[in-house]
Parts: sequence; structure tokens; C-alpha cells
Amino acid sequence: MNKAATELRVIDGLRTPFALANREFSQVDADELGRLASTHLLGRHPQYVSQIEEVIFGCVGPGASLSNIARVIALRSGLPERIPALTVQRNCGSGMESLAQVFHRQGREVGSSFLVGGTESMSSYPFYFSDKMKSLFTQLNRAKSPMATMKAMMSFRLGHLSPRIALLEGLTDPTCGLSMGRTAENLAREFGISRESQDAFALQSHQRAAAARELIQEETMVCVTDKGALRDDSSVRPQQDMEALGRLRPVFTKNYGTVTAGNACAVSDGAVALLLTTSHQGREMDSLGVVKDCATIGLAPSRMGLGPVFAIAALLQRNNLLLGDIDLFEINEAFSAQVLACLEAAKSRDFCTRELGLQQALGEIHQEQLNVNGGAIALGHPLGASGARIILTLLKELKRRGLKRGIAALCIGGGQGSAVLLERTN
Amino acid sequence: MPQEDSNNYESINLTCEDGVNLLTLVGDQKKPFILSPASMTELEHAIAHIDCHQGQTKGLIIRGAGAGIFCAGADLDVLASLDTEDEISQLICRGQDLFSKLAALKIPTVAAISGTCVGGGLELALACDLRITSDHKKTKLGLPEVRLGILPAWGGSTRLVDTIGLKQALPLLLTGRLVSGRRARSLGLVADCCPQEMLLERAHHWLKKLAAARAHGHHGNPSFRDVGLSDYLIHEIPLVRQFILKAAEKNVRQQTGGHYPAPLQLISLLRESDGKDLETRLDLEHDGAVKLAQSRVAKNLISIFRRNRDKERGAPYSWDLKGQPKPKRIAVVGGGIMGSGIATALLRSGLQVTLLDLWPQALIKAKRAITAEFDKQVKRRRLDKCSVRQILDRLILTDNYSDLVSADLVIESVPEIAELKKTVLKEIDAQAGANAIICTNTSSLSIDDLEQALASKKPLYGLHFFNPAPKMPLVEIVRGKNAQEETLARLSRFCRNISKTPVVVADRPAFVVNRLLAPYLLEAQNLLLEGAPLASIEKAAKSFGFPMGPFELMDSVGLDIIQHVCDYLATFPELNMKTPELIHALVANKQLGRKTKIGFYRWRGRKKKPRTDRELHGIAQVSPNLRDWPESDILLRLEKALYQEAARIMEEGIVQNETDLDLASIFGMGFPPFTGGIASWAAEKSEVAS
Repeated sequence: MNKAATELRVIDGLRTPFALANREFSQVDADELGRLASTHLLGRHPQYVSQIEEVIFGCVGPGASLSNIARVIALRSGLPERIPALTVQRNCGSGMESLAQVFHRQGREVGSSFLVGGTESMSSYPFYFSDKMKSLFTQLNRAKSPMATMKAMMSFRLGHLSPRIALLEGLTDPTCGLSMGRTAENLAREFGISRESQDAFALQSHQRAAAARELIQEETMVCVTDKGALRDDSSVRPQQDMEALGRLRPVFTKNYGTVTAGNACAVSDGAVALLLTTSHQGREMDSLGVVKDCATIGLAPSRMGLGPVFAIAALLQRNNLLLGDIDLFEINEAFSAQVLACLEAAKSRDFCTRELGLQQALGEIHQEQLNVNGGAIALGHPLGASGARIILTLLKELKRRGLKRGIAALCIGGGQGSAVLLERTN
Repeated sequence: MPQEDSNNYESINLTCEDGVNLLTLVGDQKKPFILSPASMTELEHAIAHIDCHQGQTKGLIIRGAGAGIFCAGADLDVLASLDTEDEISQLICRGQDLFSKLAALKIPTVAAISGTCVGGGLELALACDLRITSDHKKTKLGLPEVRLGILPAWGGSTRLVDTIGLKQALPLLLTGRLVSGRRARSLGLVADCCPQEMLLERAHHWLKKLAAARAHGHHGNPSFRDVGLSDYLIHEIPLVRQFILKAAEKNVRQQTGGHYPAPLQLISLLRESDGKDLETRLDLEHDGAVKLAQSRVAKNLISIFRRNRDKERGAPYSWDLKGQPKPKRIAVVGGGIMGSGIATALLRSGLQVTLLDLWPQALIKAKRAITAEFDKQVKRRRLDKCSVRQILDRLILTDNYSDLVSADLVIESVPEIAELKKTVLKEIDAQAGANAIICTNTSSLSIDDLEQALASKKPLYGLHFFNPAPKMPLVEIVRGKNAQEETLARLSRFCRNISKTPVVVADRPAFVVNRLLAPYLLEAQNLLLEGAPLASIEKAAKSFGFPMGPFELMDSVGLDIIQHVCDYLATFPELNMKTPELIHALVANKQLGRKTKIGFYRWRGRKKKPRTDRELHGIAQVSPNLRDWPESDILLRLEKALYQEAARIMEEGIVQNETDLDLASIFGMGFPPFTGGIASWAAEKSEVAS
């Protein structure tokens, strides 16, 4: 089958509600979250189960016992053992990467289907022993005489017990040494984004998510855990106001900072599953939409928040489209400052010519077409899952509004940006 | 080595390699190996043949045809067809002779057991010098004859005691319990429990070991006396044995109420045969078995066993379903006690289950109930944690009707309110796949009435499980007016596959089991209100053979549920039922039985104390004149209520035949099995009366 004559469709998607870390899903591992989303999704589309060729899941920190977590999810979801599974890791872009992997795969034939998605349990990120404690253990292990053991034990200090926190280390860039929050502060300064505008954007995210509660329920399912049943994303605060946001202190840069816990995304647990299938081009079938193109671009780690602009520009150029041709956008809200910086950058002729090599500015992305049902600041950002989540959210909203084209994009820790161009066919 | 007649056998296969005889119990194409007259003849020939050529061979290994079955015991159909004492006696003698000849072989003999090895099969293995088993999960050994009202008479009772000692043999003989290969190893019943693939290799190993031991003058068997001091004492001191048997007899009398003669006969057999030689003991075994096999109780128990096993019970059961897909994913709608109970039963049978409830709280409770049930299995070491996780991975909990689309079978089990059920059924009908069978778990409502809620004009079926669903073995399949025979057959197969006994019943109020129970329970209340003491009523019912008295039963089920069913039945004037005031008054006082800790009894955990009759009379506001109530009078009234209702059920054609009514009464309402079921009991009674 000639690949040009086929297209990749998203049949349907489903996700668990996102829960603040160490809350409702504190005892639920990433594989269980992925399994819940997958079994529910497959249960609604039993006719595709026999066509599934591979299971691909994104996950940033699956934990030592869950290496290749996609395989665990596939088996636990009751899929046949012969179906292979692959785990992908592109940091915050992992969930989107799972879909990109399928899109770029050569020789897909009509009818071949894939279960993709992302899962993350940020509650399960471990605490490690410090290096000093580790060397103490080694010493104890090697001690051959009681004296040597004694000596090793005497070297113990309480300070040895202070742990290394995997979550914090994971969110710090190893090359430039900046935490993700600091990269956002960089952008806020570079583009002159005030604390007030950041807080206002965060407030809008909460308000939109609260207003769209029932719409969001169309993409989530109920999750019953030992602690209770979760139906809605637990980090949305319908009562949020500017005053409360204004009282918060900057987290990453003490005195001159603008990024607070209120205008950054929540640390969350959750999983998303998408069902993809390859079909003849233009064929009418019941689906959410078609994946037109995927792009990932690298940039400076210290400005990683601008990733979406780079990726969107690449997508538009490759597909001969203008920003105005796109009806809806989902840009993952890692930080208010970072999203607002992207909007500023896209508007700026100077930035676009200098950094993107364009003749003119990309154009303006209006607030009315961006993250219309709220974003990660309100809903939460389980790292590996968010990329798949914004694709699902975007497709559902395009369908609701009867619009045609949309782009889902996100910034990726380490200095990358990913974007997907999606289209509804009818 | 002569092999000329080794291929003339049909149900067995005898070969000889390197001087070792290998006897394989093949069975015929369809059925696994059983000890029928035909196969016994072949065994007799084979053993005679081996006996003739003993000089040229080094040993005999007996094994089953596959990993899952060794021998399923004696042919019950043959036993059931025997009428006279002579015929029964002949059958027993024949088996005893056969196994005695096997035991008398001079070459060492080993039974290599993998899979089911019960009844006559284990007696065969016990006649060998030594037994080994595989650790295959289907490996089960035991002598369940006592459950059929008879005793192991082909040398089993005698040889089991000789092999593993009285202390270990007694519980196996008296309860008929089956044990796994590993347990059999620790009991000393088998010498080795090895992986299935190594079974034959190990059999050869043990054969060599036996031969070597014999060459040195030992018998070569590991002895049960190695087990411990108590076994040693029991073996050495006759008085200890008598004491143990006496204690066992007391225990048996307590548990069976003296209704079941088989365990008592077994005990007296063991007592009499103590210290005698093998021949006398086998004779005693023979006498005991002949006596039991002729008894009414054994005949009833065997007939119930056979009829329950028999798939040819009538039209829908015998429908040919070859190639028809079995339902894989079952949706249960409603996560209450019944819903989660049904889900547990289904999960346990390896099915995929979608449990739907619109209330998150109900889902949480359902998940807890299901998890608790499987955690219990982990605690009892019947399951490990990993397999429990695999089982629970097959469960989807949801609040969204779209999730029903993948279900092959939907069971609605929301509370018994017609309007609610109709709303839910309508929604199910809209969302379930076109080929899905839609069922409702109702205890009394009319299927034809509920069926009108289905816009697709699909037929609705009743699938009535009993509480607690994982335990209760009966399911009533209700045939509505639009029911299709083939679907009824599929449902009946489905019930069998989840280890339940299906009974197809007509769409009449309360179907069969509750119809039978209601008048009996009402009569018990009437008796109480007329002045009969509660304790005497309970005692009368227990003396009849019910596992618990009517008031204890009502308390356990819940008085509100009893009231609901009785009131519903009272709305049909032709049934002529009337709910007494007492139960209304108790329900109005929120005294609902065990779940509220007070009903006819005061409950404290598992302990209970009956409330005084005067207290109950006070609640019902009656003051009966107290007179003497002999137990026989009470029993007569209770029996009459049961008898009349059974007759009416047959008359109305709610069940197809007596067998269905018998099975429903035993597995659904706890009617005493030794009677053979309520229809058989009623028939016997009318016979006696005329």
C-alpha cells in the first residue's frame, strides 16, 4: 500500500482525571493509571482490538520496577501477548512522541491500529539516599572486622539522611543547571511579561477549566481507587481570584522573580490513551480527526519555554499554512510566563526573522482560540501524559465547534518544542 | 516379552518397555477413564496377563491418559441401575477382587497420578505399592463416596487407613474432601509430588527403589508412622483408636443431625474392623456398602448428583451449541450487594467484567467488596497476589453507559423497583451492542412487564442469582414470553461455565425458590403467633434437615427483603398468601435481622440469642393462649406448607419437570439433599400416604 494514499486517524481517546500529586492517586502507580485509561478506551472500541499492531506509551519517570511500562500496560489491559510495546521518553513531550512514532512509521497498512498515550505518576517519584549515605553503606558492606564496622558507623551524621529528591532533580536542566522555573523567569524578563499578566492568565485557565467541567468529562472517565472515586481533575480551583494569586511568593528567584506556584502548572498524576488507525485518504469513518504532521525542534535549554513557537513555525512552513489558517491552539501551560512569551514571540517580527529565519512575524494567536477549556495550570501536568492530553482536548473541541484545523504544541525540558497539526475531515 | 493382546483393549493400553509394564488408563474418545463393567473386564485381563508373565518383568506403572485426569472413579450410572442386593454385592466383590489381585502382584507397582483421581480411581491407586503425583493444578485425590451416601467399598476404606493412618484418614473418609498433590504428599498418601513432565521418569525411579528395597527384604514404602508421635500411639494402642472414633461419631451426629447414615456406617466399620485381618475387613466393607447402597438416602443423593451433572435435562439444556461463541465480557449494571457479588463470581470464573453504577459511592463500595473477597483467598493461600491482580485487571468500573458496548451479556441488578429497573433497562438497550443478551437479576418482578422497556424489541431474560452470589450455586433462568430457546440454552451453558446450576423457570411471580420459601416462612410466623414457641419451630425445621430454622433464615436474608417478596406475592389473590403483621411491625421498627443486629434474634457478630416469644407477641400485638405444642404438630404444619406449594408449582408449570424443582429446592433454598429434593420428597410422601 502506498503511504501517500493513507492517513493516520485518531479514533478516540480517553484519560483518567488528573490528580494533584500525593493526593487521590498517591497509591496508584503509573502502570495502573495507564491500564485504567487503556482498558476503558479499548472497552468502548472492541472492534479495533484485533487490529492493534503495537502499544506505545510515553512516560518520563516510570520507576525502577516498571522499565518499558508500555509493555506492562499492554499486558494488564488484556491485549494479546504477541502485540509488542514500546515506551518513549522525550521528557514533557513523551505523550505526544508516542503518536509521532506511529506517524513517522514506514509501511503502515490500511487497518493497522495503535494504542498510544502517556502516563505519569509524579507521586511515585522516589527519594534517593544522598551520596554520603551511599558511600557509608558501601563502607559498611566492605568492613571485614568489627573495628572497621565501628569506624564506618561512627562516621554517620544526621545530615547523611537528607534525601535527593528525584522530582526536583528531574525538573532541573543538567546542562545549563537551571530549574524549569528559572527558564520561565528568563522568558518573563526577556519579553517583559509582568507578574499581573501571568496571574491573569493563570486565573483565566482556572476559570475556563471550571466552566468547561462537563465538556472535560467527555474525555475523562471515573477512576475508583482504594481512597475513593475521582471523576474530575482535582487541581482546578473554581474559586481562584487575583488577590489570592497575588499573595503568593515567587518560588524560583526570591526577590525579583515573578513565577509563583499559582501561575505555574500543578505537579500531577494521570494517564491518557489514544486509539489510532491507518485509513484510506479521505475515507469517511467515525473518528476524531486526522494527524497531518508532527514536528520537533531543539533550542537553547535556558529558553526551553519558547519551544512551541519553533515547532509551530516549522509545521506551518512545511505544510504551506499561515497562522491564520489554524482555528484552534493548545499550547501546554508549563508556566504562564512561558505561554505568554510564546504569544509575544509569534507576534514579534524581530524575533521571527532573527530566530526563525522568516520574512515576517508568524502572527497573533488570540486568547479566544488558545486553550479554550483551560490548560495545565488548572488541570495539572503529569509530564508524560500531557502531550497526549492536549491532542485529545483539541480534537474534541474542534469537533464540538465544527472547526477544521488545530495545532497542539508543548515546550520540553532540555530545550525542545513539539507540535502536531490535526485536521477534522468532515 | 509377549505383547500379543496388548492392542485388544479399548479403554486401557498396556505396553512393555525394558521389562516394565506401562498401563495407561485411556478412556474412550469422549469420556475420561471410569471404572465401568467394560473397563473393569479389560483391567482384569490386563492384570491376569501381567500376573502370568511376572517372571519376565520388573514392575508395573499405572498412569492416566493426560495431565488432567487419572481416573474419575466408578460408573455411577451402573451403580444407580442396580436394584437388588445381589447385584450390588456382585459389583462390590468384583472390584474388591480386581484390586486385591493388583495388590497381590509380586512385582513392584507404582501409580503415577496427574489430574483427577477420585473414588474408585484412588482405590485403584491405593492397591498399588506406591503412588506419586504431579503438581499439576488439576491433581485432586480423594474418596468422595460419603457425599453420595455410600462408602468406598473396593478396599478404599481399608487401604486408606493402612496407608496414612487413622488420624489422617478419618477426615478424608468422613467429609469426602479432595486434596491437592502437594497435600497428598504431606499426608503420606503419595510418596512424591513432582512436576508433571517428570512424572514417568520419577515413576521409573521409584520402581527401581522399590525393587532394590525388596531385594534387601524391606517393603520399601515410606511409612505413615514416620509422621509423628500421635500417629504412633494411635497405631499401637487400640483404646486410643476407639476413643478417636467415638469423638468422630459425636461430631458427625452433631453436624448431620443423624440424617446421613454413610459417615456413621463408616465409623462403625472402622470400629469393627479394628485389629482384624485384611480379608475380614474387606468383607465388613462390603457388608456396609451393600447396606448403604440400598438406602433411600444414597439413592436420593446419587440421583441428585447425576441429575445435576446431566445436561440432558430438557429442551434448552440439551441444545447443540457447538461453535457458538461463549460470552467473554459481561456487564453488570448496579453495584449493590447483588451486583458486586455477581461480578465477583464472574471474575472468579475467568470472565471480563464491566461493573456500572452511576453513584461513585456505590462503585467504591463494590470495589472494596470485590477486593475483600479476593484478599480473603490470598489469606487462605488459595490465590497469590499476582493472580489476584490479574483477576482484578479484568474488571472495569464505570459510571458511563458507553462502556457497555463491548459486553456480550448484560446483567441488570439494580434495586427491586419496577420503574427504576425499566429506566436502567432502557438505557442498557440503547447502549449495548446489537448481539448482546440482556438479562435482569430480579427476584420477583415480571420479565414480560420489564421487557416493554426495551425499545429494540429484544427479548429480556431473567437471570436470578441468590445472595451471596459467589457462594450460592443456583441460578434461575426466567423464560419470558418472547424468549428464544437457543438463547436460553446459551444462558444455561453460561451458568454451568461459572459453576452454577441453572434451572429454567416460567415468568410467574417470585419464580420457584422464593415461591417455595414464602409459604413456609409465613407458616412459621403463623405458628409463632398462634403460640408455638420460636425455639420449637426452629428445632422442628432443623430436625427435618434444614441447615437453619426459618427465623434464623429470615434474619440472615433481611426482614425487609422477606417483607418485600411476601407483600409482592400477596398482590396475587390466586396465590392466597397473606403477610402476617409481625414482620411489618418489625420492619417498621427498623429491626431487619442480622444486618441491624436485631430481628427475631439478637445478633452479636456470629452469636445470636432468640428474643422471647412474649416480646415478639407484644410487637405483633397478639396474645395467643399458650398450650403445649408438640414438635411433630409444628413439623406437620411446616411440611404441609412446603408440600402444597410444591404441588402448585408443578401444576402451574413453572418448572419443566420434577428434576428442575428438586435441584432448585436443594441448591436455592437449602432443602435437605438426602430427601432427593422437594419434588422427590413430596412424591415419596404421597406414596406413603396412599
